[in-house]
Amino acid sequence: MGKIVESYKMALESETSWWSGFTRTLRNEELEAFNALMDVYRVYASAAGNATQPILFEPMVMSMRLYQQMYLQKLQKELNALKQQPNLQP
Amino acid sequence: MLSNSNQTFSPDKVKGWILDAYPSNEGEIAVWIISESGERILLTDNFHPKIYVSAKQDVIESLIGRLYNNPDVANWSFAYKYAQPTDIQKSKVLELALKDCRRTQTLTNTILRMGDYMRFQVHNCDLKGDRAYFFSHDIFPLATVEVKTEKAGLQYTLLDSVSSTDYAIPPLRVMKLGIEIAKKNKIADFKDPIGTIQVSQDQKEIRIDSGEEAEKLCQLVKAVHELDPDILVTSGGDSYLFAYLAERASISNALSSFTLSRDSMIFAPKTPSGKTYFSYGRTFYRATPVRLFGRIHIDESNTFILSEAGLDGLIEVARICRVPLHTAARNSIGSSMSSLQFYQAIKDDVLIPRNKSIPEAFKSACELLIGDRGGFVYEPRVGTHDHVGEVDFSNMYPSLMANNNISAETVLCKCCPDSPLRIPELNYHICTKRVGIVPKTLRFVVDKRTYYKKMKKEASDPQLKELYDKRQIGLKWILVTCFGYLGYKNAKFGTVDGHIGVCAFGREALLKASRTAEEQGFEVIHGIVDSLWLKKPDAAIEEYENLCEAITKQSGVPINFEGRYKWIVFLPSKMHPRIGVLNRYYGVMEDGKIKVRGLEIRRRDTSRFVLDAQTEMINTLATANNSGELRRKIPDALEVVRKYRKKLLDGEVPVWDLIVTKLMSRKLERYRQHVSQVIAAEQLIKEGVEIHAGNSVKFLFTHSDNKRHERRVKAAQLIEKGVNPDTKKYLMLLYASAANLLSFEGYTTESIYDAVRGQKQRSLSGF
Repeated sequence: MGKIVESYKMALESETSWWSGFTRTLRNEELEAFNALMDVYRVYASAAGNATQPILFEPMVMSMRLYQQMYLQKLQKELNALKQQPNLQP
Repeated sequence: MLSNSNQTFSPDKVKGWILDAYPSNEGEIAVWIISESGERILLTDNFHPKIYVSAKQDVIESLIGRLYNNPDVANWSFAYKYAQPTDIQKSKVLELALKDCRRTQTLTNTILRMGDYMRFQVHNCDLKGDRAYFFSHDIFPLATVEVKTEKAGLQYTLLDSVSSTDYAIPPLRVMKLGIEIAKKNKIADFKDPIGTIQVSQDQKEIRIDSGEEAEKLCQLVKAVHELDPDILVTSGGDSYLFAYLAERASISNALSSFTLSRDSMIFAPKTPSGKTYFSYGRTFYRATPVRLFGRIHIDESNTFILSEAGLDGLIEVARICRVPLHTAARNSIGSSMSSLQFYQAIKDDVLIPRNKSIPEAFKSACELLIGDRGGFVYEPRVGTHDHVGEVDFSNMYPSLMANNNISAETVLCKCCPDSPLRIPELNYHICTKRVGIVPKTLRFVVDKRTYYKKMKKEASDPQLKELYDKRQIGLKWILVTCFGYLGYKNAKFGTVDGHIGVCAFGREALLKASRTAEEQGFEVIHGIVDSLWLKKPDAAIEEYENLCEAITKQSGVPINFEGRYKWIVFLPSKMHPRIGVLNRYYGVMEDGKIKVRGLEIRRRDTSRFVLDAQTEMINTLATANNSGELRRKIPDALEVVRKYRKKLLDGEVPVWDLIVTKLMSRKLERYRQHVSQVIAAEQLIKEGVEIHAGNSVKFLFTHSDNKRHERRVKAAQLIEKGVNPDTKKYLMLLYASAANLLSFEGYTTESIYDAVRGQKQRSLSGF
């Protein structure tokens, strides 16, 4: 497939190249965080592709939000588990 | 067995198998029958193939007068057929019987010219004579028949069926022919004389190496006539060997007696030529077939189906698609499948269009965005996993095509716009009033393959097991190709809208299956189009089987539990180490079977040295029972790397184990860079070898970073004694293959080097 429409994964890679001006200004630590953020949409590339949104940035942002939400839930679970431990009770 | 049993007279009645059929004299077809008693009998039949012309009624009647004196037309009449595959009712068309099947193209062009290429449409004009003959008599290669010779021609009584699964095949005599050329230079050419001719059949081996060249050729002809093979197998017969033999026969004035066919046709010298074509991202080259008459010539280097499914698979495909054996051996599977569809169309009174006539439906940009997509994929969870089960849809796309009636004439049909059967997401309607040509042919193949797979499982005799396996592999390739062929621009019954519809149905099936799996407590670790890798701690095998049953019931497509892995590794991307790569994994199943995808050992361009090393590493890791043990086995795998490194440095690796094979994906002059295969190809061309796009080039790395590119590699055919391989390059390849395998633990080529040498390296040049 992809006879006419570019595959979503390839389109997303092209989209990231639009951010080269932005990334050039970043410091190393920031660049590392930026790359980690970019990896997030690669994790959800299939789901984002299935959304068939003409504006690529929208599913990209949704992927990042979803990842962060998942991360928050994980942290919340870990926090709850820690709270259950008797020696950590205040 | 020696036999001189060729019969060139026509007995009144004979029972046996159809071996070969081909046009002989004008208006005649030669048919070779293997009789029950083992005789090879030549029969001749009159044959006048039919083509059809459709146009406006008044225009078509005016055509008759213009064709009245045409020398190619034997007779004409009117018939009622479905002129277009999409037609709801039959229309009146002109049926023309030709005097000779070889004149079809000439007559077609004449008619098209008469109508200024606009007024007349010619149908059924692409059928080759042999296939048209098979279709018109409802027979097929190696069918059991009873043939009566009557005044009107041959009368066949078919005692067999293409749907038969326990058909008998006559004992075929298979001969292997090989030639050694007494070459004067490194590369042999047509000027070099014949050295040795080797012929083998059953237990008999004949070596012809004495006498003048003409004498050798006569001895070959004598051996072929005495042993009288039905199938002659060569390696390079199409591309080189037969053209070379004909040339040598011509030089030795022996051409007039050089007959290898069963009938007395003289072997015609042909200049080797062929065509390059592109399929599924790969470039292929196919040499022009060299045909023998009354025998089947199979070139081992120019056949796909024989290499995949063996002779039994080839026979199955030839029978089911009604394609002569020598054509089925060389045809792409798509061409054989076309034949199957053409037969079905003729049976259904649908005319075969000359050109694909059904255009793609208009789509807005948004519809294209929705529709123009492939199968769905769940990105893999990178790393090691224990107790992951694999479930695969069986024949997913063909089953979806058959179940949902997807064919050119059924998707967006004219007759049922309110059909409840719809393509998901795009909402295109599909016909519910008639079954399409494509689903009809596929249902038959799917059912037959399912039966063979069942029989293979149940059979206790290993020979029978292999027979069923080969036959099901032959059919598998028809099913593998059918989806791609549906979207192929030249497929007569193809449909782009149907093609994208199949993907939509496929995505829906996979998403529903994964949802069902999750509802039953499984975690989806990975999914590709028609396969899912599922994990559930402590799940019993029955749970996987119950899940498969539920998904099969829900989707209508059977899904099978392939087994559970002791451990499986999904490897990360080299560019983005946090992200997994689709279809790059390896693991060991609970029954000990190792499954590897996307690694060097699966690639065609890996040298034997790297392949052996990576295989040994995988076998070492495969002894682990879980991912914890797997990690503890890594030092053992590194020990394998050390062993192979030492072998290479000590010069114990034979040069032939270091040969790399690369494909020429385009013409030599279209390469911009001097990549390895280009350098090797240039070396070969210099020596007079023809290299086409689609050919593979074998070479050895000799000095891969030399500034003079011609020194970087050496073509395999030009390797001389004492050549030194580029040890650094091969060590790099070895380390890279190990790094690929162990990348789930963060290993890179550099860290493999460190681990193997036991020290920290400074730069890669230190290899």
